[in-house]
Amino acid sequence: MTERSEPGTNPYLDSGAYVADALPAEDIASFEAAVDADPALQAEVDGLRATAARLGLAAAEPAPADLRARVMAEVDQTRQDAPPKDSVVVPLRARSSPQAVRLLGAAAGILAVLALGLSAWVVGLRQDNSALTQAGIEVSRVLTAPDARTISGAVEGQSGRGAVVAAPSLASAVFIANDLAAPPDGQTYQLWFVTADGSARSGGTFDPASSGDAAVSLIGSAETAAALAMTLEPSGGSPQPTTTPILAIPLA
Amino acid sequence: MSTEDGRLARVTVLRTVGGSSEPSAGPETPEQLMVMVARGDRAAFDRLYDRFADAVFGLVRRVLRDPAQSEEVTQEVLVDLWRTASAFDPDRGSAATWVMTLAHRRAVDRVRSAQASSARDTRVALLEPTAAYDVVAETVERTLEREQVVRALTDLTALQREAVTLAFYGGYTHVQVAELLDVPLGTVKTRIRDGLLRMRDSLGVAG
Repeated sequence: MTERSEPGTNPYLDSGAYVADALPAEDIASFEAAVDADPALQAEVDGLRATAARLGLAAAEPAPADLRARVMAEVDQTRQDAPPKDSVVVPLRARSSPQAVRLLGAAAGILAVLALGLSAWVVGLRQDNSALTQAGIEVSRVLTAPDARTISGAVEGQSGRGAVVAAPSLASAVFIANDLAAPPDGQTYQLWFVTADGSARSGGTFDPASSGDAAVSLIGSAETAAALAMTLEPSGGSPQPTTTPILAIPLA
Repeated sequence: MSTEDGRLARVTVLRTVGGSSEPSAGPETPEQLMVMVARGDRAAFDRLYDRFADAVFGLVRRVLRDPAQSEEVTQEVLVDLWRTASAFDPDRGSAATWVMTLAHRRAVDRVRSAQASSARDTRVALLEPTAAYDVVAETVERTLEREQVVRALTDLTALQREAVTLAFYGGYTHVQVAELLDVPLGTVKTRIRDGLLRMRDSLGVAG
């Protein structure tokens, strides 16, 4: 239970200081990386964090009576974390009234989307079954993440809608589309992360299923991108976009 | 298959959390309240406030000591609970742990930014371990919860208790704790960890 190796060499030694917020800022990232890599350390941190919370609860004392009104006034003016207002925002877990109905509805919706996405999955010729399974796992992880949110947009000049489902907690995002026309012969759809300065980074290529549906696990993080764009590119994809985007979804 | 299992597990959790609660029916678990707040349920936030405002204020005040700053930070924490509720994952821990973690981090952030401009009085700080501990002992009789925590603190060695209270209630980094107590850093880390592990076991906290 007690490790006594040299400081810095054994991450377990830091678990107590970590949950007590006593690690200096510069040590936090490396400790958290160690936690991510070690389920046993994660379990220890979870237990110690819950223990520290008990110490916190034991310090409770009556809050000033006028605090409530101030908090509520500020809350009434505070948007909950959500995507920018010029985009269509569809929180996966938030809709209509009774929560039970809502949650079951959302769950059913997720399953429907998954069924749709997975059955519609079309991958490049290079990709084998394990790659497909891996991508399917990623799509389902993102769609079921507690903080998953959806930002959608319509394809310009042709039928179809696309949506980005991003889960900040997973630093991961997927693209879902429906009603997409098949790309012209010799071409494929390609997705791009576009940054504020206009530079583009490929998020992957895909072809929709015959139903027009697609679900794509995006390559790379959506975090630094200002928008996700979709273009038609020669089969196999391009290093940089060669045509005007027919879909752009603002991300930040 | 792992995909299938993972997904079904998540859906089951959704059902468990939301399944039995009608709007405005109580009493909800704090975890259910958090999930409702995450969906923008303003009335649920009122009830979340009732549950946790005293706990947040008490902890923040313990760390910061200054009443005006404590009120400010408490307000920040409570508004943050509203704003970031969607990041709460009932699979990962209790709502109380979530709330206390946020409150403690915010209080410590404030201490550290204050320290950047003026070093705190080390003489006062050195007197702190006993003082902090006594305050706990004094206010604790009200609830069984507090009694349990105090008992668990009492079970620690004096050195462990000192390191844990300085780090957690005092808001000091382990480096500062080591300087205050004039012991090697590794010793402080070990005391904090061993102290918390011992408390975890005596409180029966599920890891």
